Amino acid sequence: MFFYAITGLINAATSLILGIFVYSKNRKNELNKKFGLFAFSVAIWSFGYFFWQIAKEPQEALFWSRVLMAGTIFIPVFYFDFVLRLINNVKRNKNLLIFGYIASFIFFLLNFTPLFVRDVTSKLSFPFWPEPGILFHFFLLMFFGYTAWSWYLMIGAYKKFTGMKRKQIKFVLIGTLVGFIGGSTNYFLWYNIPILPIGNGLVSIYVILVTYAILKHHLMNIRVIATELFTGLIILILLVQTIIAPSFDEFLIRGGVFLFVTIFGFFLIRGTLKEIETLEKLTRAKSEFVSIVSHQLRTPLTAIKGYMSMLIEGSYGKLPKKSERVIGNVYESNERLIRLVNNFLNISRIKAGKLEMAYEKTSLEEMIEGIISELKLESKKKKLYLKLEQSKKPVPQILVDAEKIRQIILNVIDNCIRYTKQGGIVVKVKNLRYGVLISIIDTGEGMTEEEVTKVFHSFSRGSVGNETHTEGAGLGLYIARKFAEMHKGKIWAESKGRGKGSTFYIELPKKPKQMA
Amino acid sequence: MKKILLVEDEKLLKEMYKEKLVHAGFEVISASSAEQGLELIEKEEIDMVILDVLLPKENGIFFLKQQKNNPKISSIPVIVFSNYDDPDSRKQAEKCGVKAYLIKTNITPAELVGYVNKYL
Repeated sequence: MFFYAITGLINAATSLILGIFVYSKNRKNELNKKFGLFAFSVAIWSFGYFFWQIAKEPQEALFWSRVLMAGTIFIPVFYFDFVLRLINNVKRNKNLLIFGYIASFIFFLLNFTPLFVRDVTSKLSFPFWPEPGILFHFFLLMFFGYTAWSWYLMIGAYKKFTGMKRKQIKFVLIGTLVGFIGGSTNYFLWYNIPILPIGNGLVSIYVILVTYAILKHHLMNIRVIATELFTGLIILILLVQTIIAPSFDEFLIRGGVFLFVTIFGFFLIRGTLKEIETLEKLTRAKSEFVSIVSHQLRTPLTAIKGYMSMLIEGSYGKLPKKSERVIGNVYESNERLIRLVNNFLNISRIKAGKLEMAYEKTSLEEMIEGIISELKLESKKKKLYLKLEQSKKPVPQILVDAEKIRQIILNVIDNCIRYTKQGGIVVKVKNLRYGVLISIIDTGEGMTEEEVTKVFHSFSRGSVGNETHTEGAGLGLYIARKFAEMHKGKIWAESKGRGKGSTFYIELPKKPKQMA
Repeated sequence: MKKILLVEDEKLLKEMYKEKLVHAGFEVISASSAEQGLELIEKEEIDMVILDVLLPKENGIFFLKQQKNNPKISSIPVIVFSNYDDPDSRKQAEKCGVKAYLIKTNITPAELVGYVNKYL
């Protein structure tokens, strides 16, 4: 039974290390917190598993299988909580979540009674295998119920989300599928079905995949972690093998291999670290360059903007009709240049991970009025209407990073103007229970189903050069999505197809910091 | 007449904003560096400062810190007005209690006058 004990130990070590790692990476984030709790319960289960497997006495085995259950009891509810944070769907499942916590707690209180694990008996090649008490069946129902519901929600969310979130959800889905199926092979023997818990070792893969999913935006770091983890695991196995060597000769051989791999691993990790350091330096240099260039570009743009606006306002006397149009065009082109420079600057910051949030109470309707007046000239020139439809119920001020939200809305409306030939654009703001929904509806060219999902992440795939030459959809909407995600909000588009107009939706939570 | 101190090293921009502000009925004195600005703010009766961040020797943040430590002038409102949109500078400026941190390219001179009136 040594094999099963080792799988338990490996699961325990991976869960504990990764759980602590993910949690310490961002202690304030609910997602990281919930994953930490989940990984911790997997670790307790796995430690219990290990000691139960190596137990020599029935009493000892019974005790450790109850420790094992103490961890297991919390796995489904922590998992469910984690999934809800991942897909931003806590509110709608709140009651189910609370029920899960209460039930788990009650189960936990009764865990060290025969109601959960009645006894241990010998099954197949296992000298001690737990016998289920009456409550165990109820727990198992909850276990599969909560897991299945989590999967169902995640599959729904996978279809809805785009970009990084979508990838994250995919990893968690695959990870849990592997891990839960593997882990579930443990349940057969409880019901005397003669199937060995062969899948137990897969649980580690699951924890590793989920960790990867959470930290995917720190792809640089995770590569090192993966290398470290993998090397560490091999070294651990070799060390165990060395310790349990049956003879001195064998001990020497295994010890030699252990030493060799340890030294090799050290250099491997150092090499990876160095490579990453160089890459990070390059990225930093690139973004600094863009910052300086943008700043230098802005100075003449400011002078053009200032003087042009003063000309238009009539500070230098009334303009002749003919020049009015020309000056208006120059002003517009300059505005476009300014937006481009701003977008480049934002992109370089996003790529360098240098953006920070500055929250302030903001009236979205006031902000939209401002943006509309800024873009009025442009829409007028194309003979398009551009207006804010006042909401029936008042929309309260919400806590957002005003500059970033301004960029989102500006970029989306700008995009709508570009793709609309006749008709116009209407902006609506609606107060939701937990957030605010901004809809931007145009009568423009519309999009195919494929384009609807593509517009927000085309940039990340294509090269910068290609995208900027296609005039649109590259920079602006990509930035809009990034900024919405930074607010824990969502942005998406809907269209009934070519020629049927598009609607862009921006959903922002009212309390961004409290949501995951 | 309200007196505004404009700390701006770019000649063209200084001229432009000065023109607009004077046109809007303010008295404007200008400085091309943080040091010169600090000299003027102590000497003259200033009602508001419009401050650039990237300046020849010491930067705008230096100006703000000096101003904050001098009780005689610490209560004069400041609008930071720069094209240098760096999160660190923004944070430091906000810590010093500036009224606003505005990006020049996003604002027309007329809008700047609006902000001045708002914070005066």
